[in-house]
Parts: sequence; C-alpha cells; structure tokens
Amino acid sequence: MTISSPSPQAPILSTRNLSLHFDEGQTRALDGVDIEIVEGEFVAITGPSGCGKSSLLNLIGTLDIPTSGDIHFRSRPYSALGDLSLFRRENIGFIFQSFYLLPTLSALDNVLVPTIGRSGDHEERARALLTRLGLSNRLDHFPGKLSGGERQRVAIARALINDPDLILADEPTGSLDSANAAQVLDLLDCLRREKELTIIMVTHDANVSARADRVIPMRDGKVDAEVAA
Amino acid sequence: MNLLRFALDNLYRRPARTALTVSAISLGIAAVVALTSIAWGFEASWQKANDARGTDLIVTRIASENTMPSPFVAEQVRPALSALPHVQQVVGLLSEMLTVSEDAPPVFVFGWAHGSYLWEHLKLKDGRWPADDGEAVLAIGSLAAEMLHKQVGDDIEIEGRLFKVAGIFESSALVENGALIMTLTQMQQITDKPGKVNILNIKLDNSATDADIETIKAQVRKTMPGFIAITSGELVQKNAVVRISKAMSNATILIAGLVGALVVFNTMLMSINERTREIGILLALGWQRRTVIKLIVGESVILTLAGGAIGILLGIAIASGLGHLELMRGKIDAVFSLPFLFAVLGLSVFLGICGGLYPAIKAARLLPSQALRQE
Amino acid sequence: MRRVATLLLLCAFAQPGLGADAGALVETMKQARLSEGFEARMEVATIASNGRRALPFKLSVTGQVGKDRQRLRIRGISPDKVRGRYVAAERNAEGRIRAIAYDEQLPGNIEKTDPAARLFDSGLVLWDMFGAWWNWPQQSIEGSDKVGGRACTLMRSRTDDGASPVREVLSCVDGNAKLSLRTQLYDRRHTLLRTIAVKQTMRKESGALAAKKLAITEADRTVTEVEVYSGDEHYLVNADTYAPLDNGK
Repeated sequence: MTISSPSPQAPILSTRNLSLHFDEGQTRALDGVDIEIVEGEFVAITGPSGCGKSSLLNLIGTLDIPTSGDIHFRSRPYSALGDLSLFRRENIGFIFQSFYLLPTLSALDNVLVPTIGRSGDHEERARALLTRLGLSNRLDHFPGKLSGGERQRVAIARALINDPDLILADEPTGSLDSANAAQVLDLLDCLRREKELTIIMVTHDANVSARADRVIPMRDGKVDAEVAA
Repeated sequence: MNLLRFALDNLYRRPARTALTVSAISLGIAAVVALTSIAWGFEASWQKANDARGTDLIVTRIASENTMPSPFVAEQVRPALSALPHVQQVVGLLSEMLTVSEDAPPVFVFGWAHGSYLWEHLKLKDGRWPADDGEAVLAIGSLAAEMLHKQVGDDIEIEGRLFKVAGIFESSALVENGALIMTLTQMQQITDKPGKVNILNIKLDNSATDADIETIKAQVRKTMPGFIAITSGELVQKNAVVRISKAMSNATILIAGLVGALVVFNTMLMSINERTREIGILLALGWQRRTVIKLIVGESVILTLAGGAIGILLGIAIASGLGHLELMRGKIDAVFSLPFLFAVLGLSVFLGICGGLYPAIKAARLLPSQALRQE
Repeated sequence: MRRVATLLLLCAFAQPGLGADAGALVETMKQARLSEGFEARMEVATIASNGRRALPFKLSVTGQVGKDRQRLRIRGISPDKVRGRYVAAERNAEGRIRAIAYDEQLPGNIEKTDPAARLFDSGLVLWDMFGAWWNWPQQSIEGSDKVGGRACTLMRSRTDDGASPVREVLSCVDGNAKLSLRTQLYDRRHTLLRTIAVKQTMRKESGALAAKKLAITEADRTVTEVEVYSGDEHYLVNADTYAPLDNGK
C-alpha cells in the first residue's frame, strides 16, 4: 500500500484539527493541532514533557486513534486507509528512545523482524544496511551485548528495512551520550539525503532540534503559536 | 527469518521459562497416559485370559457388587448346558485369590477340569502337566514362578496343603502368567467346595454363529434361574474391580486433563501478559494482528508438542516402571494404543492453542500505543 | 474369591423396621442368622498391647444354624501351629453349648473344651460366634450411635444365668445393612470383656452385608484382626462334618 508520487514541496502529511482526549475529555493530550509537513523535510517537534508531542507522533504513526480530526498522508485521509498495520509497514519507520529491540534475536534478525510475513529475501539488504551503519562486525550480536549507540543504529536499520518514506523518531538520542547522539543524528541526516526521507523527530533537546529544517514547538496539546511565529 | 524461526528463537532464548512450561505440560500428560494405559491394560488382560482359552461363553451365577461370581454346584446346570445346540465342551473352573507366601502378595489359584480344552492354550516351559485328576501338583505361570522363587520340583503350601510344582507355563494373559493352576478336583478339595465351580466355560463348535450365541444366552436366561450366560468381554465389563478402576481412571483422566489444561492456559496467559510490550513493538513495526496471533499460537503448539511428547514417554516409563515394582508385579500390564497416544498429543496441542489463543487475541486487540506503554 | 460367605456367627444381623420394638428386632436378627450351611475362611492376626504381632494364621469356619440347634466347626489351615486342629461345638435348644477339640494327627483323641476359651491364642471365642445373647429374655433398645460414620441402633441384651460367661451384651445394629457394627461383651461385674468391631463389609447373596474385616479388642488391649478371604454361602454339610461332635455324646 505504498502511497507514492512524491513531488517536492507538496505536503507528505497534514493534520486537520487533530485531538486526542482521555477520561471522557478530562485530559486533553492534543487539542486541535493543524500542521503540514512537506516531502523530504526534517521536522523537530519540541516542548516540555506532557505537552502532547509524543501523542502527536503516535497518531501520525497510526499507533493510536484520534478522538477527532484527521491526518492526510499524500492527500489520503487515515480514516480511509483500511488496514493500518499494512500502511505502517509500507510507509513508516519507527525509532524509539529505548530502542525496543527484541532481546531474543541477533542484530541482523532484529532488523529482519518487520519483513516477517513479507515475500522475498531481505537478508542481503539487512546486512547492507547494518554495514552502512557501521555494524558489519555486530551482525550476530544480541542486543544485550551491544552499546547504546549500537543498539540505536540497529533500530535505525530496522526502521529502514521496508523502505519507508516517513521516519518517526521519538527522542532517538534520549538514552545516548553526546558523542553517540551526535553520531546517530549525523547518520539520520545522511540517510535522509540518500533515501529522500521525511523525518519527524520528537525531542526536548535544543541541540538536537537545532539540526532540523523546521521546529514545531508545542505547549498544552497545541502548537505554540507565539514561539512558532 | 520466518515466523517459525522467530517462534523457535523466542523459546530457545528463554530456556528457563520454556523448560518450566514444557515440564508442567509433560507432567499433566504423563499422568493421563500412565493412568489410562494401566486401567486399559487391566481390563484387556482379563479379556485376554478368556479369549486365549478359546471360551465362547461363560455361565455363572448372577451376582452383583462382587469381584467374582459365587461358587455353585456344577452338575446343577452342566447336563442341560451340554445338551444345547453347538455346545462342544462345558468345563468347570474354580478360582480364588490366596496368600501362598509370606513375602508375596496374594495370587490367583485356578482349578481347571483335567483334560479340558482350557489347558491347550498354555505353553509348557519346563516340567510337565498334572498326570491325572487326583495328582496334588501345580502348573505355575512363569511370572508366578519368578515372584514366588519356585522351580519345578519345589513345594508350595496352599491352604495348609503342600503341592509340588510339576510344570511352569507361559500364557498370553497376564492373569494366568501370575497364577497357580491345579486340577479342578484338587482345588475343590483344598477349598472344601466339592463339586463346585465359579464358572462354567463353554466351547462351541466352529459352525456356531453370533446368533447361536444369543440363542444360548436366551435359553440360559429362560431355563436356568439364577444363572447367566455371557461372553468373556461382558464378564470383564461386569467385573467390579474393572468397573471401579475404569471409573477411577476416567475420573483421573478428567482431573489430569483439567489440571493440564489449567497449567497450559495459565502458563500461556502469564507469558503472553509479560510480553505485551513485545507485541506492541511488533505491531509498531507493521505486523498484522493475525501474524502476532500466529506467532503466539505457533509457540504454544511447539511447547505443547514437546511437552506432550515428553509427557507420553514419561507416562509410558511410569506405567512400565510400576509394572516392575515387586508390589505391583503381575497386576499391571499397561496397554499403549498408538491412536490413544496420538489423541493425547492432540489433546495437549489443542489445550495449548486454546491457552495461547485467548491472551494472544487480547494482546493483539490493544492499540499499539497501549501495548507499548505496558511494562 | 472375594465373594464369600459370611461371618454369620461372628456378627449379628437384624432388620429392625422403623419404630420396631426390641422383640421384633431380636426376632428378625435370629431369622437372619439361619443357615443350612456356610463356610468362611479367614486370616487371623493378633497384636499384643505392646505392639508385638504374632504370626498370622488361617482358619476355616463351617456352620449350620437352625431354630433349635446350632453347630460350628473350626479347622486350622496353616501354619503348623494350627494345621489340622479342630474345635467343634453345638448349642442345643436349652442354650447349653458343648465344645470338643481334636486333632487330625491323633484320631480318636477327642477332648472336651471350654466354649468361652480363646481360640489358638487369639481374641476369637467360640461362645461369641453363637450369638447366644439374641435368645436371652431381656432385650432393650438404648438409643442410637455411630460407628465408623454409620448410624446404628444400640441394643442391650441381659441374662441372669449364672452359668453364662457373658451377662450383658451391647450391640450397635445397622438396620439397613442387617449387621451389628460393634458388639461389646460384659461379665457379671459389668466389666468389659471384649469389643468386636466391623472394619469392612461385603454384600451377601441376600443383599445383606456381612463383615469382611473385624477387629476384636480384649480387656488387656490385645487386638485380633480377622479378615475373611474366601468362603461359601451354600456350604454342603456332609455326614463327616460333625461326626466327632455326634460321636462324643
């Protein structure tokens, strides 16, 4: 279900009055968010914890369902997508703060997990990706034997294995020291150019958001208009 | 990397959890296998004893709630039975379970009419048969010889009288292999039951059909009040010990099955619950719900297949091992039928699928963001 | 063969109807005891009060119970200590019990013996087997009790006969089972001589229960365990069975 025809400057993703409420409206994680992201853009969503930036990322990644409003991916609303898991597999790659690697699998097998159930042999591409990320000598290592930076690079390879157009990264450097954080950011930046990726990254770190093309600041479940302006 | 390898890795890389689950399942299955095979073996060995003798029908006193029919005077009904169509031989049998040694459990002592067809199916291993009706000698089964440590020429005291072992035989029926056999006349003398038998065995000629057997049964019912004619299979069905052990084994199978089901279900539920976040990750990576369910069910099938197979081997080992204990000697002849073992394996896998399916569906129905939040 | 005759004479039978008085209970009891011939073989084990177990032995008890006459014959089966030893006894219409002892090895050597004596160094007593107390004139129902979880009716039987070794018997009769579950025998000073308790039962052809296992506890706390392992409810009594008893008259 690859939704294609990327044309530069056309929005790859837009949200319309997006809201996410809990406890019958008592808690408003998101309250009417309208953003637009163009193809190939590197966007950082920032703000204090609890401002709704992770909720926004979850909704964009179809991990959660909005209370109201909709999201359009290349002009198609999510509500019309049908099988969300299929859409997620074809179009989105996730990178999490705590990596979420499976401890029972080697680095190579972890990268291959998203391909399970898909036809074809993906092992060569997985090896190539891990090599590209500087892990050629770590293919058979289990996550427990890898450093934090290595683990996040395995997670990046896993996010890229199905050739998505959109990378969603939730505090990808949050668990790393500054040297590893810088390396991961450099890698993401290079890969974006190589593979023409769009990256939406949630972070509260100003050093990280400084590398983005654009920053969307958030406060209390809304886009912080004053800072944005 | 496919789903099967992924499932295998999951199990292989969590050896403690996998071993615990497999052993819990295998113990439940072992109990089912051992108890059932022993109960069936018990039933089958009685039937074998009668089948091997070539007995077509058994005439005995109507008795209920008894382990054995009560003795009666053979000549009361023998002439009438002999006169029935197709009847070739009517042979008396008197049996008791008696203690013959301080260090061995009670054994079956049979009195069989000398020269009757009953003796024909036994295979003489050593010595000879009783020479005539009046000779106070025994033929003993090979298992009895082993249990009582007796050889040809040794003496065995039965009810205060000494009998010489004349021969040692082998029978296809465990009941007879563990028994001491003397002539009917001798048995009647030592038990003070002159002229009495427990059972009259009837051998029919080759032209007798099932319909003829039914006719004879009806004839006995009509003309011999207090007596009943049944086939050996029916006698076994009526035997209280067999009935009780069957009821007990059925109850045990049920309990073992329930415990096994609970163990499998609970183990699966727990292990899936603690893996909710893992399921969330898989969903975030684009796995479809049915792929997640397939994975969990696949793991359940592997666990229960392994647990079931080990349990079956363990059950066979337990049942066979019990048969070799001195106390159980000659009482256990476990029967393992291949279809039953496959059925048990099937049961194990079925329970595993049921136990795994519920938590798998439950976890896969969560929104990925909810599943990821679980610790 | 487990399906055996009975310990008819070791245990009392009764079939009291609901609200039946003592007389009716005793009458059905006496009826239930009638037999043209029976045999029971049993294993007897005595355990002294200090816990020492004597070598168990096997006995055969044959008997005939008529309205006016009861006869019993006990034969030792094994081991050597009892083998071939006989005790026979007869109870006449007047209630007198006459007992003799003889040995297979010593034909013609017949001695008188005391029916109230212990048999073969065990708690078994010939006198008890006759259930003579059911013929005593004083009978009363004393209420109800439970033995081994089973409800039973307490019956007190008394006699003033100075010649009787037992002067009072307290039985606890299970009406449905037609079996005295516990029988306590007292002497003239109201001292408990022994208690006969049923531990396990089996069903007879008539549908009534008979004792399969009994425990006899004596005053010195010696316990005798009796287990019936074989027998015949329709034993064919022949001319030889009671010959020594008849010849000894």
